[in-house]
Amino acid sequence: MKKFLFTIFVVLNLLSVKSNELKFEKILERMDSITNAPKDQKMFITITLIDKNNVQSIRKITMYQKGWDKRAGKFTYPNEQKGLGFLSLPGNVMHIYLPAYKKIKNITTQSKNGSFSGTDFTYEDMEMSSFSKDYTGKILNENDSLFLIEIYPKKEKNSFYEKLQLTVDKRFYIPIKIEFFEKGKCTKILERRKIEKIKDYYVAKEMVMKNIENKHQTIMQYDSIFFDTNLSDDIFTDRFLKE
Amino acid sequence: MKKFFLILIILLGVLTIFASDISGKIENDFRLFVFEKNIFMDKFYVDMEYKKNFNEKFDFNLCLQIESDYPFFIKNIEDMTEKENFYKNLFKIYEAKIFLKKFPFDFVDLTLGKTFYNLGKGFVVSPSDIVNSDDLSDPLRMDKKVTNFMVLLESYFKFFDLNIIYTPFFTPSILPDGYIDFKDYMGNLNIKDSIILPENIFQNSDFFVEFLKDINNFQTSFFYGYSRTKTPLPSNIKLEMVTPFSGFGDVKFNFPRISSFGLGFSGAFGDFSLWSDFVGNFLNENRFKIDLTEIGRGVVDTFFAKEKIFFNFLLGFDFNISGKYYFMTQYVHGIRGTYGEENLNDYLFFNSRISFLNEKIFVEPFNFAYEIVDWKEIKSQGGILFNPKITLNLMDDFSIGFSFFYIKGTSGSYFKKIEKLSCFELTTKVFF
Repeated sequence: MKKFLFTIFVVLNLLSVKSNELKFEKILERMDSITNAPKDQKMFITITLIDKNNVQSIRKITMYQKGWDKRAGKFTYPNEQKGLGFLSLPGNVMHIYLPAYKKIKNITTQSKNGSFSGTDFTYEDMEMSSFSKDYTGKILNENDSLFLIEIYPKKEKNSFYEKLQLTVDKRFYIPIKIEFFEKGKCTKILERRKIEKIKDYYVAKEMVMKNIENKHQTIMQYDSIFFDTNLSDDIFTDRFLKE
Repeated sequence: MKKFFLILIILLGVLTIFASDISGKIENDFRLFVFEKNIFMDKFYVDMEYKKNFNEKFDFNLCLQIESDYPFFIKNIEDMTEKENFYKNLFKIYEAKIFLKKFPFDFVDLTLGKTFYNLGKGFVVSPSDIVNSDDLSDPLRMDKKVTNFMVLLESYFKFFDLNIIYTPFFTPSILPDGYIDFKDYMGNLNIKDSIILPENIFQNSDFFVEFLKDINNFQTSFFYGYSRTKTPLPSNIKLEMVTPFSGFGDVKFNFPRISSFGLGFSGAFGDFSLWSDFVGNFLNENRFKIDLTEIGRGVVDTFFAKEKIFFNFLLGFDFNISGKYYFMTQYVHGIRGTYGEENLNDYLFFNSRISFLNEKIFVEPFNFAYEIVDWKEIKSQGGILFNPKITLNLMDDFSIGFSFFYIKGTSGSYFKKIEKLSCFELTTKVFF
């Protein structure tokens, strides 16, 4: 009898683990389907950099996104960076365009950890990614309104982060808080605010990235956003960067 | 001086009217020379770019430049009455071009006008960048180009890109002060020189074709160029002796035709960015004549380059650690404006950059270039340029840079020619 009960206990535990895994995968897939639901997006973004003395500086970008794996952008402000462009394509491909030399440069894996134009976002943060394809992980906690999950980048993602902890709002399946871990400690926190429904999609119109080490923060705001405008594939090319 | 202010007022007027379409930069470079007789130089640059998008397929670009420097040209009282001797101003249209997207076909973009185009993958300098001549007027700025009128056809095919460049008007390089001193070569002869420029449209025209292909995030290119040398090379010297020890010389310079085949690649290999350019050059002329008929002798052939064929190449890589520390190394065989294998030296460039306070401060402690004249005499023959630098980006669109240039070279090196330019430099930039 004892043996039978033990077997039942083990099987139930295994089923519970399996069910948690399935649930975790579903959460990631759901997040992907929400985040990458629009066929394409054109965004006008203002980025505000705030240092620990509250000194601010501004960046403005026009960004284009198609599906979940193509992104291109061009700086429109400050004038020092006007015309600087970047292109993120599948397979960890990232190009930047340097207008002063009219040359295109490939970004290396190491450079992806570099600051994106002095902001607290890195090139990797600006890269397109899929939670379900690029990460594994587990559910840490759950209540009526939130999931707390931990995800680990797969090797092929070439990520600089050791892990991410995501607080996911169950209403929208949007991670409203992401904690980035490097070498065992949390180095940055991203908060997604002002979640609105535009057309058929949920969008966080404001993102705040806080650097814990140097007390610097970056606020990324969507001034306007357009969905499903049938963006041409031509935008996601070096040809577009050079225009 | 009046002219300068008039131009500036007109530009500022235009700026007010078209404020949203105009951007640019005002830069001041102040140099305190260590070894020069004129101990300082104060130069202002105003770059103004106007861009008009008529529609999605039609752009117009205009880039105007003003340079105003403060050299002393005063030798006597009369000179002091001329304002032009206090301020030397230069106004130029640097770029003026129209861009027609998807014209005449969907897969073609056409650019027409005065502009520049770089064929090379090299960082700042590349021996492949032969479409435009170099502006060598300031040897401490190695990235300056002379723009010229061109027809640029950029075609995007399924498997490769093809660019065709045609420049109908030959434009030579702008040379630095004291580019050639005949006393070095001709001793007591009184020398005058003359330049033979290409005469008709066919002689003036240069032509370039470039194939580009991206393979797994790896840009490769191949080009052919039919152009001319951008710096003048001697073609003929006529000697007339007045006494056995003195006389006159008439040196004629021209710009021989040159055919260039180039290969280039750039890409990311894990943590490194790598790039390389390789160019094979074929000179039409590699000899010049010394005409001694005036002194009862014949015409002697001599060479400025032993072989008509010579090669330039470049290999570079850069590396970034945690986004804060940047290192770049580039090896170049042959510097701008030199032709013929025996005239080419080797250069090793090293650049390091550390950023602080979210890129508000950049420190470049170990920027240097090492010149090798002869690999067998690497320790005793060559030159060095050491250029540490600090840049403060104090606020948006404003930066201050402080740097030091230390230049030293042995005979036969390029750095020997410019070692008098060792200086402290203060640079301020305002972008609008």
